[in-house]
Amino acid sequence: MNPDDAKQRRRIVVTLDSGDIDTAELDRLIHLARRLDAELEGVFVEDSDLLRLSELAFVHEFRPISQRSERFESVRMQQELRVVARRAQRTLAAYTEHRGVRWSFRIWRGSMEREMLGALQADVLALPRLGVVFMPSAPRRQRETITACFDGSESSSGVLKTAADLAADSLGATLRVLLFGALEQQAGLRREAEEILSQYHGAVVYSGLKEAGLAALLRALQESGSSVLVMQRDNRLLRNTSLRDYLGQLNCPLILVR
Amino acid sequence: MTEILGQERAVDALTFGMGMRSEGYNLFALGPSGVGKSSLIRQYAEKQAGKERVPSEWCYVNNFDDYRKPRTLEMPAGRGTELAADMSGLIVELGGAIPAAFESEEYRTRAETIEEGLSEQHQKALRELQEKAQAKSVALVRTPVGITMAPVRNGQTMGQEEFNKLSEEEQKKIQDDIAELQEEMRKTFRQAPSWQKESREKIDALNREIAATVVSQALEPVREKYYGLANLLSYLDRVREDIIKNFQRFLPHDKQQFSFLALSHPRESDEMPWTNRYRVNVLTPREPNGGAPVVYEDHPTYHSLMGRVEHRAQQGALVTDFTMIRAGTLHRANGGYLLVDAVKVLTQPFAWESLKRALKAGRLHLESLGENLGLISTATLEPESIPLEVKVVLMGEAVIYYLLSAYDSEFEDLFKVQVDFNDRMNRNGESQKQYARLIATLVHRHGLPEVDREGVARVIEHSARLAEDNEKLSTHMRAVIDLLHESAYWSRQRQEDATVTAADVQRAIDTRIHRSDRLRERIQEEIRCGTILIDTDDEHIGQINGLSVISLGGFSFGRPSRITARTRLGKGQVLDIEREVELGGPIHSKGVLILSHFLGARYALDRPLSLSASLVFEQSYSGVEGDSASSAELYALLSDLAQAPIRQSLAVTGSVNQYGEIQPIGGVNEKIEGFFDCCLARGLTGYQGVLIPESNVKHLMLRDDVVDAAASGQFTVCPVRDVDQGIELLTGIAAGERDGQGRFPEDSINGRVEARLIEYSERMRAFGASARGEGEEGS
Repeated sequence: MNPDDAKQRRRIVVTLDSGDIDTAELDRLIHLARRLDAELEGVFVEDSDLLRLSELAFVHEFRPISQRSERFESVRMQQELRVVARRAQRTLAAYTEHRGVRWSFRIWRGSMEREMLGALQADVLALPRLGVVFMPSAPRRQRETITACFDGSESSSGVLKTAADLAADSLGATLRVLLFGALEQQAGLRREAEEILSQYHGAVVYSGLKEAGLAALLRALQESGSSVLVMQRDNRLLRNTSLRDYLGQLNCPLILVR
Repeated sequence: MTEILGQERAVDALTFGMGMRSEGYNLFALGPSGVGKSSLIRQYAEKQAGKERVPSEWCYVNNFDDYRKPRTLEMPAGRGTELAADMSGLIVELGGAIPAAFESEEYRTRAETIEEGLSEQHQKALRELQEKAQAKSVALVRTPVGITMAPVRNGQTMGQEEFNKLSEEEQKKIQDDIAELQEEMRKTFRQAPSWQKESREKIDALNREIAATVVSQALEPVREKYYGLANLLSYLDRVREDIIKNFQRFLPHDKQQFSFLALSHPRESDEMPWTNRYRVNVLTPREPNGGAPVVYEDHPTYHSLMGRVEHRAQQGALVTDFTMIRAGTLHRANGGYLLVDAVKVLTQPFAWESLKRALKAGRLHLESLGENLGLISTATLEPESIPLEVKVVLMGEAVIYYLLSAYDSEFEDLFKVQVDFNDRMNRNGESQKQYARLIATLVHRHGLPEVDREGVARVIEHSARLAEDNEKLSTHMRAVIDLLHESAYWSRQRQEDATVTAADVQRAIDTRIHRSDRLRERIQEEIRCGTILIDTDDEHIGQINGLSVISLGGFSFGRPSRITARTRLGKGQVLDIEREVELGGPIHSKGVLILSHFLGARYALDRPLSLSASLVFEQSYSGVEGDSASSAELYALLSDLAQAPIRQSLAVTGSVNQYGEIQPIGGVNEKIEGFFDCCLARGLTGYQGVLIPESNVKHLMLRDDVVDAAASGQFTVCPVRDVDQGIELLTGIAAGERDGQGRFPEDSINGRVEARLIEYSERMRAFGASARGEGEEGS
């Protein structure tokens, strides 16, 4: 990567929500932060929608591990959020300590929607895998595939560079470039991407994505078994979809690059 | 030629004992040190062992049910060692084959397919739930610890304020919808564990299938190699099952938590390093063509005999496993012969008891002594016991054998064969030839210079001296070997490569004596200068030269001692002053008591023995033991009673019985030489000599100078049969025999003694009557 490009990126934000923290994801970001000499900021998102929801007396909460259903109480839920936030901070501290990475932690309260993207000013924004799962499972560690969305825009060239950085830090990872564009544009997009990645020596797989919809993207991610998706912050897919829904349907973390 | 001569009895016993296979027919070789017990037994044991089959190799292997109780595996000789190598190879092979199989496309695809199936099941259920929820404008929302349902309006989660704005009907509908969806969600999520379980079972089955295939392929060559060994094949089955069950242990460390669907295979407690689990600990490796083992245990401690379980430190604790079981001598000798020194095994704590227990049980049970005694409390093992079939040969002095026979009730049941080694052999023409051949053999074996004929003769002479009998030869081979070495030394000092001559042998004998005889010289010096009172001329009543032997540091020498006797009127008591002051041993006291009964029986049959006598070893300040001076004491008593002076130029040794017969004693040569040295220092007169028991004549193996002096008439050794003969030589007065009236001649020693005793008796009677008269008058 061009050192000048690296110097420009100074802040990597990772949102930590109430779910279990993916330590592999955290590792990946620490490597990236070191590579870019960036500060890693952990932001615990206290979802205001949850707080609002807890006002409704008829709403119940189901706990899959204990298989119990209880009323969704505001006080208890806030206590639990505080506990989880503290745990997230401890985890972040434990992981970054002795790794030579500057880090900070804060709590952000709001809706996990588009305004959050604006509120969390960051060069790289990492969003966890969201969505309901049946049982927690150990993440698969082998044959990591980092998928980058490239549509030829200036911002998406940053996506490729970040994805290449991530892949370089992950031994044996495959970098998969999804070319967003019509069939006739694909060849041109690939040449552009290849040029941007000319300094990257790892394995790169290119594939075209003719349809620009979320469903097509999800299929592509599932087929490749992606570990992480990297896309530009102003990707049009994010414009038309609720962020919560989007993250809920992705089966992997999302990294947004400005 | 062997180094063994004159041990026919021991050889017969050995032949019998080694061949006898019944229970308890272990051997005890008894005899003095140096007679060649160890060599002969080893020779016989090795000869016998060479004809016997090589015993099994006993191995310890892991007990997959309880690692603290390792199992045994009996393997033909040499095959256990092979198996150990094969199992080590198998572990290495599986270390590569198992990870390869579990990283193969086949496995990954099949496992991922199962995971995919579960994932699809989850997604389908969730999708259906989400679709139902979406249709009712409800969203599934993740909470810090669970999931909930949220009513949504215009893409936003509804709060209380928005909800209140709704009509009652709408509110009720939302509440009903959410209640219904929540129930649906509960049902859906409750199915998750069973789906998970089902998939896990599928993964387990797949894992087993893959592992079983790999393990079976790896094990098959081993099974074929050892085909026919039923015990081993059964063990290999257990190995196969265990590896299949624990296949993930063969995966690289970072993949041991490996598994899809969050399946982790929890590690069992780390009882031993994983690679040890399938190893084979060959306790007793055997050479296939080596015959039965013959083992000599030089240091028979409990652990060296019975084996031990070693430990290693792990995180501050001591841990162990079956690979740390170490064989003891009994393990190594199992199926063969074990040679042990009796005293050593008896003096080692718990060694003797453990040896007996093992022989009695016919099994080798390995126990931790420290744990049994409560000295340590750490994890240890209880290995399966091993059948024990061993012939034990204990070696020791005869006294040990007799003590064990008397005090150890189990001893005779366990050691039924007594191999009694003789310390002497008959001396005749044939045996002397054999002895000469033995000397040649020893010289050759020990790389010594040749010994000429005279030298050999001198060695044989010395052997007879060691045997203390001119009709016997010593079988103490170590002493003979030492003499040959020392003779060779003096020969080399004289001239390099010279043949050993009689003079060299004599010099070796003399210098050995010289190295040891400082005390003897000191005593002789004391006698010479008159500090120790010994007369070698003149005559004295009631005084005689007795002879004793002092043994110090393997060197014995004779010491003359003045013995005196005093008699007077009394009550028939012969007082042993040595005993009174507790310086006399019981045998000496017995000798003195015999004297009083001899006197009574010979001289006072029909009247009381009214004598009081005292006997003293003059200038004796240490203990006196033995009855070899009893004849001298009797002569002194008779001299005093008869008032007949004893020639001080003579010394006396020999014990006496109640009939006045002189009985043999030990150390006759040293005693004669002791008095000879004393006389020689003062000058030989031709009258000096020693009275010895006639039956000791055959034991005479005197120094050359004594023999020469006797031959030239300057010193006399007089064999004596009975007291009468002795007293005549000592006093020059006839002892006298009873005539037809039963009276001794008046001037004879016996006549004088009897007259004195009658006088004492009469005076005692008169004294008694007078005492009674005074008593009557008094009353």
